[in-house]
Amino acid sequence: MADGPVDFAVLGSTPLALLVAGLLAGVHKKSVALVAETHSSFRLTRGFDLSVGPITRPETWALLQRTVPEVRKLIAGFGAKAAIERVDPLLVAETAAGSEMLSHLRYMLLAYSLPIERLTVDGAGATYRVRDALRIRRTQFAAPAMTWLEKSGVRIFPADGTTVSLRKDGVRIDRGEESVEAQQAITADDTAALSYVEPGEREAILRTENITTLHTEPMKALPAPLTLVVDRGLMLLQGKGGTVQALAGGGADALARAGARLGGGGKLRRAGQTGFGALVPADGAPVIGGVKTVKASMICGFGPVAAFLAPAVARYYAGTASDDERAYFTAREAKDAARANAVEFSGAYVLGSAS
Amino acid sequence: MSIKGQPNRLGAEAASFSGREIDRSKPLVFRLNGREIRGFAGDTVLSAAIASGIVQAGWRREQPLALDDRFAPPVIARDSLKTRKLALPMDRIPATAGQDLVSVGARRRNPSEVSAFFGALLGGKPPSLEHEFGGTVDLSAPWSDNAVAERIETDMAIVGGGIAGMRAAIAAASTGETVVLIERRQILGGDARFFGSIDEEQAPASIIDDLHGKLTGLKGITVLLRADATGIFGRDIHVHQVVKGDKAPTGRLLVVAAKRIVLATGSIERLPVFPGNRLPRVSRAVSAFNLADRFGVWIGTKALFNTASGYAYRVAVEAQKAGLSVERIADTRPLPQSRFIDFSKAYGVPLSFGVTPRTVAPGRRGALDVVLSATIHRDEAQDMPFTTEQLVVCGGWQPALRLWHMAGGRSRWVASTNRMEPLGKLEGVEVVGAAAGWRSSTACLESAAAGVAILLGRRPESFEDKLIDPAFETPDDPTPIAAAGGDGIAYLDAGQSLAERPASGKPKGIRGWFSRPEGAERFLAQSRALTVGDIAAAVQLGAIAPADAGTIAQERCVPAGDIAPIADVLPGSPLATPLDAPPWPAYLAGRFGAEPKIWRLEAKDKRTFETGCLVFTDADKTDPLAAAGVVLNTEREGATALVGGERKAGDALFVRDLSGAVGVTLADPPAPGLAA
Repeated sequence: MADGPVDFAVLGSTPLALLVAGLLAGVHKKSVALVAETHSSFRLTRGFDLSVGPITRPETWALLQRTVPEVRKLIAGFGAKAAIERVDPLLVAETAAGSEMLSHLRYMLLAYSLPIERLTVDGAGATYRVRDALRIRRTQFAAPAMTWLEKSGVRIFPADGTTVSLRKDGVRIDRGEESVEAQQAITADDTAALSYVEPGEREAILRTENITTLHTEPMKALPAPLTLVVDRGLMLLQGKGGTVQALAGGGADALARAGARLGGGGKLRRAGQTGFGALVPADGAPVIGGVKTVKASMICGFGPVAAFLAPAVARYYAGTASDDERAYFTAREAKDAARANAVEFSGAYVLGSAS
Repeated sequence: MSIKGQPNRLGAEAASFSGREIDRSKPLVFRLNGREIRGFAGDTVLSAAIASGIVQAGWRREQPLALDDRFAPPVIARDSLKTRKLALPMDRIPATAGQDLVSVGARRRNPSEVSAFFGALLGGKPPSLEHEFGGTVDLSAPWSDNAVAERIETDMAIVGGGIAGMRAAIAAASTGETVVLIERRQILGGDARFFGSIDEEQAPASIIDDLHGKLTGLKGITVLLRADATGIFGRDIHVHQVVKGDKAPTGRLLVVAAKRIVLATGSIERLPVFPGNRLPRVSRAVSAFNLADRFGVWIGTKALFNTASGYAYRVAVEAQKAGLSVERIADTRPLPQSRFIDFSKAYGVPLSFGVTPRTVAPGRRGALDVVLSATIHRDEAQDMPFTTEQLVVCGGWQPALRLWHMAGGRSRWVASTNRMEPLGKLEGVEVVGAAAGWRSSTACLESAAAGVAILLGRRPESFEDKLIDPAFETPDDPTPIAAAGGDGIAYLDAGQSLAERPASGKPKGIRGWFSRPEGAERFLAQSRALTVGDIAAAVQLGAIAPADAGTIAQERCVPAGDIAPIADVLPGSPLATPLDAPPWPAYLAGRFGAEPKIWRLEAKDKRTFETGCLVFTDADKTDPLAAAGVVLNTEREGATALVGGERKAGDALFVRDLSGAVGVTLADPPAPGLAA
């Protein structure tokens, strides 16, 4: 039996998707349905959520100055304090272009009083450490977030067994005998966009990148538990037991990319591996909006900081964004002519936005 | 009955357990870890070592760990110790007279009293290779680093030389296809002899002989024996083969590049989950059968059986025929019906039903102390203690799906059969035989022919799995899992993963949908590649949800291969740079107005500035959004910067570096052609 249309159908299971759905419902009093994969936490990670990244636009950092504390408070408020972890990630470049970007990033972060230190300069490469960054631990986040979403009045549909039909006049969600109409869909992560948006719609602005996650046997301690190799398209997370999860772009090259970075840690053995698709903006600028023939909006290419932008994203969709927030997202609308002015460093958006 | 120096070797009179692959007229002696090993031509190093009394690979957390066909360290010639990549797998390297071999891996530093005690029973010789399998188990394949010796192009590659693989090879070659058949063991036939036949089916030995005859009569078939398919990458199958060689066995890496692939990888026997399930002298039925049938090797003279399947009865009967003592067959099924049960009764084997293993511990004088648990009522069980020389367990069968997963295939947990089964189709790859879940030898053969037909774009013949009516042959029980608790490590499967029993439980409701069950975190944090058997056991234990099993199996049941450190692989820029692009990074576009220009900056104190330093019109400004420009390149004195707005040479600006705001002047007009 169909109910009255809800305001938004949020599609996705990353922290960004869950936070946006919950904020739209709980803070902005919109009616929201969420279609999320139920098993994502079992799988090898498809992405990391960090309050920092290889972000080169000052307006993004200005926005994060406001939204990172909001996200921290929000997550702690719904009982997932353990899901927020303080980390000191390394940002590593191995090429001249990557080092140049990190040097730009360094002075930008210093201007925003964010602690960053240069550790090494080696040939064309360089390594920086950012202090006091935040990471969302997805496995600790999902369950309390679901309780919060329920309390916020979000109608939750497991993606498995649920049909989502994007149409010109809205969205229809069917699951068994239950169905919901929504006025607008938001695909809040790459997996959702790949699942629900027609390739023809996506391909004008987004291309699909094959990402590999490697899970290694324990190896000796890396210089930092979290490392982003910005020009290798590689993100490394070492667990307490010494195992490493490595996300690498480049499909068949992924093993070599990870191996090249980890090889110094001794014999490197694979304990798990998966591949999946991520969406990369064709012109280099993050995308919000972008679907012409159906009433849906995609959020892609914001990289590992995407979840920490959630409060601003929710305000934008709810129509309560401040002038600078509205200007920020408008400049990243797929149809906006000024998108060239929102282009980020190429490595920034490859990782972190799949569910 | 045993042979001198080979306490676990049966005599030639041991009926069907006298060892089909060995030649007793050709005894041989070689050394392993300095110890003299006696065997026969046809032995593998592993079978000869077990025959000679070595039944333990080493230790893990102070508990002995059995040496068997799924858990054996590689070995290397003593004079090649420094070249680790020359190591070879124990179960595929033929025993060769005069070799001096050393097993590869971390050693236990202080042999324990238990080891010494076991050793005393064997005249001072340790029953163990004395490795230490700590947090990181390194049974890695050192040969995986070797260079590829040969690339073989073929129409069809068939992985698995059991009866399904042999049938597939014949079906493909009969149509003119070139075929490469890849088999781990040194002879073809797989485990068909273990499973036997049903009703009017042809006997497995006869099937194998017939298939062998047809194979040798066909052109275009290359058979690779002692060859392990380590991985599938697209249509390339990576194979490691042990070659006998003139003086000593050697290994070589091959790539079999196939247009079409048949996976006839068979099934793997599940390991019942109970504390002590991987102690030395605890054997899986199919391993015990193969050791005896192929090599005439049997551990001890007395054995206790516990089974969830009818097939273990055959092993027990054959053991009894070979003069061994079968103390009891304890069946987990409460009221099993099987033709094998009648055979067992006829041979006087004591039987118990509704009995599961509870715990096993090392006993005195090299024996095992076994406690079985007999269900009396639904909630009441009675312990049945035994002391035996070998516990043979049978936990049912799991299709071997590792290569299927590697090829991109999916799988799912099937509750009715309690196993992971392949799901869906893959272009150019067919999974056949027991790997596809077929049980009878007839169905395995037919599925192989059908798989080849599908790959060749032909219509397959229909067939069915003719099984005995459950009223006469009780289906297998789920793999036995003991109640939680007890001393000793309870492993989920045989093999290298060494995954241990996790806790179970999961939050209910919406929270439960999105959270791992308790214990899943620990299970999935296992630091090495898992087996499909591990996944199946974890599902049975409730540690992972059945719906997740396929995904986890696909991700975690990977070959534990090395991750190659190729240093020069870097991604190309995802954005094509247009010819008219400005000479500054695209991520600076629009930062400083529509038409920024490149200027050279001069500081009054001749200092230099680093890339990224922001340029302001006001010394007090710090906000990057208010910057007028940014330093692009450091120069010997000053820098070049991208600066927006209407500027002219001599204008004063401020560069913010680590020391604060530094006054600069624009030194030059922008270079021609550098304006946006």
